[in-house]
Amino acid sequence: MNSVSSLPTALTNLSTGQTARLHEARLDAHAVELLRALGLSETQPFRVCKAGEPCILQVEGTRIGVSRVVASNLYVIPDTYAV
Amino acid sequence: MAAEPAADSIQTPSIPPHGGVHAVLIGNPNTGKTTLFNVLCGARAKTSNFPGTTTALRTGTLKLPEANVELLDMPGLYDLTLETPEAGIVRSAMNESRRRQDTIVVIVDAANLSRNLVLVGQLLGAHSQVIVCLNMSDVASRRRITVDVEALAAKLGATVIQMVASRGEGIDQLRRAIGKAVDRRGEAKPRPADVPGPETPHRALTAWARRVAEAVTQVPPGHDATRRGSTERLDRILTNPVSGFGVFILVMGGLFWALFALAAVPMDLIDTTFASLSGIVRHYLPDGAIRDLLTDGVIGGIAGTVVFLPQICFLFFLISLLEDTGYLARAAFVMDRFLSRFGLPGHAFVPLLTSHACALPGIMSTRLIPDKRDRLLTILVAPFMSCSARLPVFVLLTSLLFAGRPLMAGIAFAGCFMLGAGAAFLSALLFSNSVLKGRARPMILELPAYQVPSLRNALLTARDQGISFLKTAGTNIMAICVVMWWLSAYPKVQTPQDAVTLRTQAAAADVAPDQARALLAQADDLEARAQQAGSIAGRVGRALQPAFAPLGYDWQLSVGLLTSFLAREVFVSTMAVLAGVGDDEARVIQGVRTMKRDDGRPVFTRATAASALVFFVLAMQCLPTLAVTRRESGSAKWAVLQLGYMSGVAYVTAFIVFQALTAMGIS
Repeated sequence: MNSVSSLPTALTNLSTGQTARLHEARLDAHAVELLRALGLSETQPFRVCKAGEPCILQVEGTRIGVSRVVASNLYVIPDTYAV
Repeated sequence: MAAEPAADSIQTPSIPPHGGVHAVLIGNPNTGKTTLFNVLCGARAKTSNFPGTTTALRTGTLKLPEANVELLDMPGLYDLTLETPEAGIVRSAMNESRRRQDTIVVIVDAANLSRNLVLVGQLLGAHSQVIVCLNMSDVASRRRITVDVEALAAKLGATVIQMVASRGEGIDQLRRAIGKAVDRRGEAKPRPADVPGPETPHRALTAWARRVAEAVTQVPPGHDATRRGSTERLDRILTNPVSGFGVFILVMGGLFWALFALAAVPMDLIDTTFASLSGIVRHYLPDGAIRDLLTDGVIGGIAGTVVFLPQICFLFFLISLLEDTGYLARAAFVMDRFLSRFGLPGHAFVPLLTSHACALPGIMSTRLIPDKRDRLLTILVAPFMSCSARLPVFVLLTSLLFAGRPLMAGIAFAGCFMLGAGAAFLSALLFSNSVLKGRARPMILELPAYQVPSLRNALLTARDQGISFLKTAGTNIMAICVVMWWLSAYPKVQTPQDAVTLRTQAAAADVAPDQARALLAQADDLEARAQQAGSIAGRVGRALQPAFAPLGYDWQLSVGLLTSFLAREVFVSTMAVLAGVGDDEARVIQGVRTMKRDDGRPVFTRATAASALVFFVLAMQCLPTLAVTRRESGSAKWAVLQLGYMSGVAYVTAFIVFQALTAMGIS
């Protein structure tokens, strides 16, 4: 199964089960640092475990909850799968 | 299982050791660091603050054959380079630690190695003696993750110990490893060439951590260790706006029921014990100032402090259990939606709810809030939540306001709680747009794995918080109690002539014992009333009365307000003394209702009672809370602001209520 990247979109547009990678975080420096420390980076794929408020992401072994305000400012590149 | 690294190349600089032998425990949050510290040091641990901060530092002595090692427990953090106050404090502590050549014990989650190795990488570059504890190996096994411990030790150039701290597995190996590291203190430690240095950019550090984790971790082909069906199902329920809120109400209802049910017994016991102690001292010491100081000042002051202890200990015990389960992080998201509208963080729900029991543990529990601005804002508004000490005052004043109308009294009673909560939220909004400008930090939280809570951790947390309360806030509270007692007990006034007459009548031979007792009680009431009125507090109350006149208060009500700065419930006993009645609830209400002003008009009209009720809902009226605010905020200015703001809001609102009701002819 190969993953194909698409255009960046807000994290709030992803649905439960989708995988993606971070493209840009339009948040203050503290929030960006914290997300990076939790493992969310441009190189690391993540899975949306729960869409909505809060949005729950799985980044490797870490589950991260983010409020809708944060999710709407996280721009991600969803993986679209081609069989 | 423990593994030693193979010798390699890079050296860390050697600095001559000085001072005692220390080891530092550090790690990411939710890796079992507290559990490990408690297993290693347990009851020998002490909690203090990092110098000049309000960040807690736990220390304990680890008795090893090689030496007694002082173990320092750092606050949990993901990354040493984060620009947060806590990370700054840890950086300073770690610099000091490097200078002392301490042994560094870094705990990592075996099921989440890649992220945890970033912190390990930062430490390896700066410290010579680093021990890596590969904790939660049982969780990793359940997720079918296998870590090659020897390979990891070789990759890191550090001792790696596999452990399950909650079951005590690997603890002996860790103790031996710390002993060995202490012996080798100051020796340069070889590190593999690719181990990051202190200046390695974060991207390179993350890439290194991922490479190492991938090299030493194995999962069966086709198995996704990150998928956890039951966790995902529970998260969907617990963070859902409807079901999550329902569970939240149930959990918090249960918590407060347990808090009241569990704390009531020891609180009553403390009350009874100190009352007996006071009685014994009163019995054996001769009448006079020393006896009064000991019984009413010192014993009363200690009782007034210690009585809060059960609530504080039980609250932290229950919160610790709840936090261990992983639920609190989910609950914070449920409340964040509502609280963020007022500039408050989702984490504020525990302190605000707790403040309904007592503002003291409520303010202490703001330590759960990671951001300083959010924590201060919560501390400032928490005392608006109606606490249990306000209940006797509410009962008295609603009974005066709606005599013989229990339904209306009940509605007014509930309204007091709503008014307090409303004032807290609106004040938070006001502070968010003024002294604490900004919005609550948007929530980004790690959701820890669900797990069975540790009873040992909860007990030790409750003990630490109890000791911390007694040592710091407790001493201030006792001093305040003694001063307030002195103000209301001195100078001594002459016994009123009526009291002398009553005592003479009681002593007459033809008086029945019951009647004599009643006469003596009446004489005591008269003396207490005269003493209250003639004391410094009474005189100040009279002097301040003109300031309270616009609220409809006479000098007696002003004295009641003044003495209740000690604690709100003191208002009821002061009014009972001034009304010349005992402490029987029905008699107090009836006696206070019939109290007269100097000109013969009643003290409490409906307008006055409503005004006083509103005043007590909104005013600070609790000096122990001020002492705790000062301690937890780290500055007296926040305590002064809190007192001034709440008193101002209470005064203005009570004034509006009194004047409006009077204008409407309701009096």
